[in-house]
Amino acid sequence: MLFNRLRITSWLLALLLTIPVLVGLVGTLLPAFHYFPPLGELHFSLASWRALWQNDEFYSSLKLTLITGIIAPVVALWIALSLLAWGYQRAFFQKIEKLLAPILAIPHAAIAIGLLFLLSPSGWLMRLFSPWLTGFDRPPNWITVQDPYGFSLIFALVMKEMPYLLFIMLASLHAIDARKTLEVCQTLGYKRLTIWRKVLIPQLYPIIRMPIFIVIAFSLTVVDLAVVIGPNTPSTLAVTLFHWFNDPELSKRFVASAGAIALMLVIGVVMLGWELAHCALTRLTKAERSNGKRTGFTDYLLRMGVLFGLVTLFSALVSLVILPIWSLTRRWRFPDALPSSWTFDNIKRAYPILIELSSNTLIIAFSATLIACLMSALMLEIKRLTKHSENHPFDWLIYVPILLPQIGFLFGLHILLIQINLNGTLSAIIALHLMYVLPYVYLSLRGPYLAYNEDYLVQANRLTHRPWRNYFVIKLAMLKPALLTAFAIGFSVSIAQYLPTLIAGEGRYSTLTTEAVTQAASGDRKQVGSMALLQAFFPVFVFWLAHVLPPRWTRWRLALYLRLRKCYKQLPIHGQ
Amino acid sequence: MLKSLIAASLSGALLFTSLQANAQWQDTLDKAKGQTVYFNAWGGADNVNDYIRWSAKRIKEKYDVTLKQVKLTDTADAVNRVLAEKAAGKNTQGSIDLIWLNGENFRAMKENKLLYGPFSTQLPNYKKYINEQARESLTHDFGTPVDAMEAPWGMAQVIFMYDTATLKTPPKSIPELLTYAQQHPGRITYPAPPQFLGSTFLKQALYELTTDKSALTKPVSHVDFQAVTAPLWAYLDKLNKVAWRHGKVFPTDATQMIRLLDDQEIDVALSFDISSASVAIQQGNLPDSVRSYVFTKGTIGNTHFLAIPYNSSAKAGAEVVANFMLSPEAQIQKQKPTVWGDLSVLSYAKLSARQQQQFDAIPRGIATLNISELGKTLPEPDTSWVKALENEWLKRYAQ
Amino acid sequence: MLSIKNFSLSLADKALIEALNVNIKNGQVVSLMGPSGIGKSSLLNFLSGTLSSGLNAQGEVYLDQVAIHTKTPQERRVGLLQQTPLLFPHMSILENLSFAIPAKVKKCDRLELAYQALERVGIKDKANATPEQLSGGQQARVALQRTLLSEPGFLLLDEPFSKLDPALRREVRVFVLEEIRKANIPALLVTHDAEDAKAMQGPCIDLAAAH
Repeated sequence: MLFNRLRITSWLLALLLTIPVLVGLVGTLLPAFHYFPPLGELHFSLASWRALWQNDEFYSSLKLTLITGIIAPVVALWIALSLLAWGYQRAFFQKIEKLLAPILAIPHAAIAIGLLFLLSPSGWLMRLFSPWLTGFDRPPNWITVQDPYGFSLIFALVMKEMPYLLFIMLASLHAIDARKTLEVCQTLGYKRLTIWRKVLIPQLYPIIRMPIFIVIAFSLTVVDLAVVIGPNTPSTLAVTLFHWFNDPELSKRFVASAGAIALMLVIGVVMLGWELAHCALTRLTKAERSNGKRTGFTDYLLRMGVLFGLVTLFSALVSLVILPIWSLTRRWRFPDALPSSWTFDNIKRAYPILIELSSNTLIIAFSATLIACLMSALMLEIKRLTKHSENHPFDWLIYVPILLPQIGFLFGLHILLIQINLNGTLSAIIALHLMYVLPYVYLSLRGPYLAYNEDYLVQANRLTHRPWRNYFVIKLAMLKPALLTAFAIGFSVSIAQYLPTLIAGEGRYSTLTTEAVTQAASGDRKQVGSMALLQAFFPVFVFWLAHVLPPRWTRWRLALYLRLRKCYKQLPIHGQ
Repeated sequence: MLKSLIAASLSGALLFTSLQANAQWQDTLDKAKGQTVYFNAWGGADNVNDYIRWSAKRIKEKYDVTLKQVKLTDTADAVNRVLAEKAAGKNTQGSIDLIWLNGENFRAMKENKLLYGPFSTQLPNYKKYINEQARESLTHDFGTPVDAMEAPWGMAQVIFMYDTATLKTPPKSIPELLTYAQQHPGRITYPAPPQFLGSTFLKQALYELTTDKSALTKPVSHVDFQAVTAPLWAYLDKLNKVAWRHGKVFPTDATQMIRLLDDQEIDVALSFDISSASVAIQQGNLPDSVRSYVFTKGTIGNTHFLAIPYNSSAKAGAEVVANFMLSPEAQIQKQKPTVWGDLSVLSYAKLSARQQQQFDAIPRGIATLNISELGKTLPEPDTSWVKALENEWLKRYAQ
Repeated sequence: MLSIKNFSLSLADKALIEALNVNIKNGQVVSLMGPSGIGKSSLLNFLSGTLSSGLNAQGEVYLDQVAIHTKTPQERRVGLLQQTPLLFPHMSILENLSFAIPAKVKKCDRLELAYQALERVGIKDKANATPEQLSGGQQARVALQRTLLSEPGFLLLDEPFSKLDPALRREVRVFVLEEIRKANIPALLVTHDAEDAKAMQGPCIDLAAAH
């Protein structure tokens, strides 16, 4: 009875989250089949599909999308696994771990702009070595970025995705008890990398499957990153579709809608292919795993991955360092290694609107993330109670919004919002953000939450039967580190949302991100640098708190209590 | 006696109509009081945003209308939003009251009945200061008849920029540009169509290269497109080969071109904003040795406008704003290079002597050309050319 | 006085425990021994009202002649001490103790009570320490004090000494017995270890033998 009710609740929650997306999808499906009353089209037809099949730009950009969208996740996964296998539990690696949070917190467009400046022929790398080494007084006519094959785009994607995967892996390691496995296998004479390859990675994979899918979907659908650092003759499919949707020729959106549906199918096919490839690989390596060899040739793959990984992390770090430099720059010409004149003007220009931007941003991010945390806790509690470990509806339904391309359903969603008269309100923005924040929060909370030793809560209820209060002061309080980390991730996801903020808020609520993206439209590095800094400030700060607070929280709280509580002072207990 | 009677009744009628017009405008002003106008405008340039903020302050003081800028990265966002509202049946109380647009976006909105109007020719300042004969682009926006569905705001013309410190004589025509590129491989490029500046470059090149200029004023469907444009593609085939990054990538817009010019990756940049060189120098984005110039045979120019969506919730307020933007006060401020530097749309002859003085007194940026230096303005070809040229370019060079 | 009457337990069709009758006086500790899988833990779950479905248990339980087997777990006033002390790591020792004190007790009195409990453990200087700063034996003793502070009607001890080393185990056993006697409530100890049973100085029921 209770279980049934819980199950129904979970279904309802999942539907509540996915119905908007489904309605949004309808808003794309109908025009894809040429039905769109506002443009006077009232009859279904396959004309848009025929137009799509005949469009050469579609094929060439699809090809590019497939190349970048498949290679990037493969490389990101490979590098993340290599770094993890190599560095797990090493002191040096713990320093690298601290680097992950800021990389995750920086908006991807900003990091792409940093990378673009690092690698372009007139970029920092070239400036550092010119003219004394290269002999170049002027930048060479090389194609180092925006190359037609999309290598620089792949590099940018890896730079953004690898830290995310690594972050998730580190968080899921407790579930497979990596330390003990390593100890046991090392006593059996296996080399470290071989243990990872043969024992740990196969265990880790099922846990991180969903994050990998998220990364795949991201690689296939990303727009802002691809605009900055991707090629434009042609662009990736997502960018091309974006242009089609925004084409002044409004009838172009029929083809665009068909293209968006096609892109969704592509995502589905790629994921299916990925899973099949994984099955095949598992089968192929199954025999090798138990052949008893303590080292293996493929260990070198992991070793190479470490090298690439360090290069990637280093580039990410440098791309991050570039932003604050640009934000303080007045003049910086090729081939100067550093700006020739400095100024605070770039940052000052943001002053007048800073308070409004920050408060909008914080209100939205805090509300959306808090709701997401509570909903995740509720859904996980239901999941625990019903002991339905595998096929819970929300386990896959909540990922729908982040697995589908935004351009595919946001227009339809906007129509829905207008129809229910929620458009242009703060609550609509928060609701839309929730759709994107919740999956990330849920994903990072799930492991620790389900691993929680329920005995503590049972014992607490035995001692004083106040289940609701105990749920918060015992269970959630003990899950503080996981909750804060999940919060930090959700928070930075919310901060980075551009299109949802714009569409739900109808542009009436500016946030740091909408402002930063508008500035990025100008392509002015100084503006982008200062806006990106402002945009990154809050997420980095929250990540830092999530890192620093949990281990010290109780100590600080108790110290504070000692000062505040009079009752404590009446007692002669200061014997410490 | 009869004559004077007729004269009196005629002037009476004139007086009456002008009184009526005044009363109507007063009515609009009354309605506008207290309204908030959401002005959807591209927000990528700080100087433009600052100017809009200045206008908002003045409009609040003079008319008690609140002007709020909704910054867009792309005007198409606003078009899409009006379209979504129409799809949802929201035919009143729309979220957009005023849009900054021209060309294709205007045509799309006009053709799909997404605009309110006619209104612009009834604005007092339009009647007072606009001379429709002065420029064709005031009445034909990329060949699409304006029909009072949008009010002119400013004028733009293609200009080129180069660094006098490194380049003595810049290429001053489309053929010279190719010769220069062949001598200096990798130093010439143009924005990728369908970005509007890229498309404009195609039109500019076509204008100089084609043998049949009269074809450009006709719709594409009425002419032999391949024949008319053949010289253009032959030209681009040669240019792209020696262009920046071997023609494999093209800049996305004017700002990127300016950045590339500053980074010395390219030697010539183009822009649709005649003041952009001065503004960039002032912001430290270009060396102060950069100057603007135009091609000897003239460059493409057009007018940009303000339009009101059909479902705007503050139409009166939007009209008041559009009218203010056409006032000499607003246009003088706008033309100041330190503010924006956008050319006035007002007829110099229709201004009072004092206003003319004020216009004359506007300082020029060190790298901004004056009206006479800007030379001949080439008209935009018929709108249908834009799409045709873009599609052909994409087919040839972007796949 | 806790009375278990006619308790029997079966899994599927296999009888595990049949017709068990136990009476435990106030201040007395009855030990229950037997190999794993015999149903010791299930008996404890039955007594505390948290028996999972799948097991078939029957019997009656009376605390001071009042039937409690019909009551919800929270109404039974049961105190349970397990292998792990389950002290809340995010609270100080004092907070852990005062957490268990019934809500009706006033704020300052709560602290007084908690502090007295702390004194009984002999670590009054550790009031503001966190559980991880305590040794295993101290943790076990705090856990017992915490359970007793919740004023249970009877106490269930589920192998509470099994994680302690032998020397400590002896000490803690003595402490536990003393405290139970002071609290004057019936207690049931489940254990593997005959030493545990002996140290409790009460009757010992060997389920394997009864079987």
